[in-house]
Amino acid sequence: MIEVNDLSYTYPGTTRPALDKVSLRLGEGEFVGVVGANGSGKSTLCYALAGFLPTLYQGECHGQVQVAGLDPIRAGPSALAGTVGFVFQDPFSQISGARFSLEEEVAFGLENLGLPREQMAGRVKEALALVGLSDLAGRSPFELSGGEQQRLALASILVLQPQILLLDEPTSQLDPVGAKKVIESVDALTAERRTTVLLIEQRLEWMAAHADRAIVLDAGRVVADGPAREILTAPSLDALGVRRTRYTLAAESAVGRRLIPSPDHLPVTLEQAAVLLR
Amino acid sequence: MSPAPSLYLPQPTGLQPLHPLTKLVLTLTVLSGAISLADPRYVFATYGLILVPLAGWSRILGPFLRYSFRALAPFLLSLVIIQGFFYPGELVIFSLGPFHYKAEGLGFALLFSGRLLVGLGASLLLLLTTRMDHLMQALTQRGLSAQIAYIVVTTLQIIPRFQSRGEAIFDAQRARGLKTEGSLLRRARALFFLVPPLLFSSLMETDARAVALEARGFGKPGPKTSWAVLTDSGGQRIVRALCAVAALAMIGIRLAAVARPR
Ligand SMILES: Nc1ncnc2c1ncn2[C@@H]1O[C@H](COP(=O)(O)OP(=O)(O)OP(=O)(O)O)[C@@H](O)[C@H]1O
Ligand SMILES: [Mg+2]
Repeated sequence: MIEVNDLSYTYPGTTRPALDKVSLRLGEGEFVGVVGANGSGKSTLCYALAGFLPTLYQGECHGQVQVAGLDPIRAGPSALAGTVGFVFQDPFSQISGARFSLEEEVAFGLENLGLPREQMAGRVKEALALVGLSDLAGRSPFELSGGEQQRLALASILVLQPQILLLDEPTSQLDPVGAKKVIESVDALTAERRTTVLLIEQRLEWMAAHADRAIVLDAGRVVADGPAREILTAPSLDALGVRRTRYTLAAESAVGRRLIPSPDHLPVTLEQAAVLLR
Repeated sequence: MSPAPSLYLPQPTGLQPLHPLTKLVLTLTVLSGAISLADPRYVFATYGLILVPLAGWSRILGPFLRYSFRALAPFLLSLVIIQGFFYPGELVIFSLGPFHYKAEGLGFALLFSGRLLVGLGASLLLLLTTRMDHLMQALTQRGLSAQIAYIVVTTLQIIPRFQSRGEAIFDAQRARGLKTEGSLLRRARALFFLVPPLLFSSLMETDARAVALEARGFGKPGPKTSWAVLTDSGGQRIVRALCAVAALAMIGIRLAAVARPR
């Protein structure tokens, strides 16, 4: 589904590459988490995969990228519409500004792709329900809180049913309960459709609950790539500016003090920790 | 329940449920009438006997009259005063020292204000009874480029946001110690510090937004569909054709009258 070989990218006016010889492969239906400190290149990686480079930012780009059989760097975002869905960090600039209700805003992409009108209502309703915005369907997109805007941005992409979903901190402005619900429904939906998901998320606990695999970026380089639980508990994360969960740290300290026997894998989530203590 | 985009006031009766093109054609016909009629009485009659009843039928008479007069009053006053004194003419109505107030000037001022009033009224009627996105959708279906339609709709939508953003940036600059009150020079300097961030932030934003739109298929070739259903009817099609003929006829007659040597 996604294949990246030796991709390097430098923003215009900078000298240090934001992506440095990145190589990775993602298969159909895989759910992969990406972690790394601020400025490590997570968003830039998504820009490259979504065809936002060099349309949005010029700059130096080297290497090969294939997404769903297309080269996003040559093809641009419009050729990927409907195949690759990208929810980026700033929700406000993802609102079209040309539609006057959430329903219409979510339908905007479907209109552009020429979906027959009879199929629109159902898809729009489903997408709004998935992100918890059903009650606001008639509200203006300009009268939303930050968290609601973020839900809207996600719904506007999910409604397109892309084969590949790139989610750049899609719930950073949601309340914890809401964020958990939204991530869970996205996970259920994408598992059912065998969507390939790349999720950037600061809260490792949620990432571990859904991702099979995790990738760590540091200064534009992939420094770790493997099973989520193994990667997200590695002590080396501390030095890379990624904070491991309290369950990981607690278990690690308990092992260090010989309170519990050393497990195969430290826990990331509460559930994993509970299993360990049993 | 959905808030009014721009000036639009939804109502179940009147002009609102009509097809946007019908309203556009109606507006253009009234406009061409306003520029073709050479007698101020007919021009004012167009306002009073066509536009006002239509506004009443659409239940927007209050805002219609309010907006019309608020926009027109300053023009009307200055036209009537200035043209009366300075328009060339013979028929002096009264004199103030060396200045003569002439009937020709008054006539010209009335005709000009009447045309402004009708032009403004017809446009207001369109704006108050029509959703701009629906009008643009109708025009896009008739061949207007989707990009132009998008720019029109977002511009109308963005103006109020631009104002509030301006205030926010003003406040931020003031918090950083910029003096925004006081002498003209001081205020000009404040404006100088206000405008670049405003332009910059809106440019940056439209950039990311443009790419986000593309990623949702905007600008992708191929057939498009639309969420909104614009209902049309045979009756409205006939009305549009008649309006178009009437508009062309009025303009034709006017042109013939102007071109005819006296
Ligand atoms: N528009 C830009 N122009 C120049 N440099 C940029 C631009 N955007 C990002 N960078 C630089 O590229 C590098 C990678 O940025 P990127 O946004 O991909 O990081 P990130 O991992 O997504 O960070 P965050 O966790 O803060 O979202 C950083 O060093 C950043 O300073
Ligand atoms: Mg980022």
